Amino acid sequence: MSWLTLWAIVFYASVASFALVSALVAVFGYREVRELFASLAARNRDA
Amino acid sequence: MRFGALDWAITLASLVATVWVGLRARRLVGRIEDYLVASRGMGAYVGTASLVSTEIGIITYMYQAQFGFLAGFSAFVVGLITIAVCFAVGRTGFVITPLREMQVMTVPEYLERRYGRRVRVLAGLMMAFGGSLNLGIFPIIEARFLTITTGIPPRFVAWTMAALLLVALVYTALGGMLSLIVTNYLQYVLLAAGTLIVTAVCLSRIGWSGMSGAVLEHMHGRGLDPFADLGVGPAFILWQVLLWLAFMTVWQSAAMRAFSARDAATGRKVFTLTSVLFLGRAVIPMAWGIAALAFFFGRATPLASPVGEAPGVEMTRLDAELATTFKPLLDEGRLETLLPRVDRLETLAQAERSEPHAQRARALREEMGMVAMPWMVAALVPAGWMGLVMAGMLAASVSTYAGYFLGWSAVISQDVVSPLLGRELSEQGKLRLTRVTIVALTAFIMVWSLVYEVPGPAYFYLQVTANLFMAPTLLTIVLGLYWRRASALGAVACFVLGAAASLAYLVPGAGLSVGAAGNLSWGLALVGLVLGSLLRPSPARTAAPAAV
Repeated sequence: MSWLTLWAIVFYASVASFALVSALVAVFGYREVRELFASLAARNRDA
Repeated sequence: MRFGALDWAITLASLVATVWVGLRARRLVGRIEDYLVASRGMGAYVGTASLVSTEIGIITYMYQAQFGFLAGFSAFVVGLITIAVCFAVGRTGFVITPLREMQVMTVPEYLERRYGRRVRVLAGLMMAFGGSLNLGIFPIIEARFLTITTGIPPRFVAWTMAALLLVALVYTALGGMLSLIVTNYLQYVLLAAGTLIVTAVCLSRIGWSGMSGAVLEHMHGRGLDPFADLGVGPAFILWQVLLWLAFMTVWQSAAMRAFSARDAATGRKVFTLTSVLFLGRAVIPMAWGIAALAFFFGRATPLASPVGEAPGVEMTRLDAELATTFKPLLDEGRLETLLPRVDRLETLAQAERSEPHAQRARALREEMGMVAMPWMVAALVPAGWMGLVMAGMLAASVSTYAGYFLGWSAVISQDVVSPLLGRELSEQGKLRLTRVTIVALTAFIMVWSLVYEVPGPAYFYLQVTANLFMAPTLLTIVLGLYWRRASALGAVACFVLGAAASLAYLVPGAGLSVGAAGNLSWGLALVGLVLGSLLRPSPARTAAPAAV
């Protein structure tokens, strides 16, 4: 395998994985923020 | 491409939304734990967003693009080392898991438990000093990106940067880590979108074939093989591995994400997910730098060799010509005019074996590398899309400032001021102290960025100021965790010697290269820790079981 082929694979893999993990973060992160804030609001209410 | 009204509207709306969200989170802050580690309730995905958006700023994209512009595809090797180290830390929990399980809020807090208060304060001072110097040049570099892409006149850029710092200051000082987590989430979505837009534009307008063609045609046989180009060998790999290991484990803003996680397993998952994104953090902007090289060489007219002019004479003439025209042409973004001239000067200098000319040509190429990517982005990204890109870039920038403000101010207030006061502060007192420290840190950065001239390449300065404390901190923690004999005297010697080696680089006339300073810092820090511990082991602590 030539250097150029290796770097092409690294580049496209990094773009694809960046896009995929970013999409996961966008979807699941929103849920986690809501959960964290709900739990803190409940704690502050109880206090 | 002109930065239009629509672009401004999108950019400002994103900033207003960020501040609004950050301020809403403030209402939930009740205790110092909420403020510094978000009540240790952070999930894996939002933790990943928070860590990555803190560690990606405009400055990251600037120096990575510069590296790609100068080293071509060979630069990608750093991305591969990064993902390998981050993934290994995430899978094994090396250092981060024991620290998370001890429920510390700052890295030096562990050092007090293991070595005593004196070491905690010393480490805190080193971290605060190195971290503030490191952060202090961000505004200068980022201002160049903003000037080029938005067209803001240079005289207003300092004010623009001050406004950005204030945006970060407002919600970080009031809401701490809670505000950071929610704003980082929003900022991550924006910066990921901006990153993918610029990448898509590069691929559609220049393409992989254009990028590879530029490297093959214009880098004179360099740009593909990192072993030949960057001097990659065991020493380089060891240095990069140590650097990234230290960064992922003891860099306060990164470590705080592990401390804020729900549990140790979540902390490890954050680092595993982050490893994938950190590959993109390196490789994607490096590819932009290569695309910029292709873009400007594609627009350049080849330089005709004057008939009958001796190479030595041509070299001197070109050098003199560039001495007067380089700066104005660079400020206008006329890199297509400059590139063939600098390229020719470099070729002639090598042929004539003139080291001063070769050094000047390299310095000019480095300067072009720093601004090539923003000029390409300004030229290629269409209006409207440019607003989204700018929203992403500013989100990246503000989140970095906010994360670093909180990280370094936590160290200053918790590990320096509070222990020196000699009494336990109340929860409200700690909160107030941290907020005051954030404000003071912001003021310092504003002043520092206006008065300080960066010596040499910014990338080296950033590495040296970080290395000032990263080598000693990682070594004292790792040996503290895994070596029973490690003592307070060894830790003090480790910090003093490790920092001295890094500071030697910043002293004019010391003549120490950045690589030598970095390796010396690690070496001396290790020697200091081992010798100091062997000379005077702490009996009480030596007898105690290791903390793992």
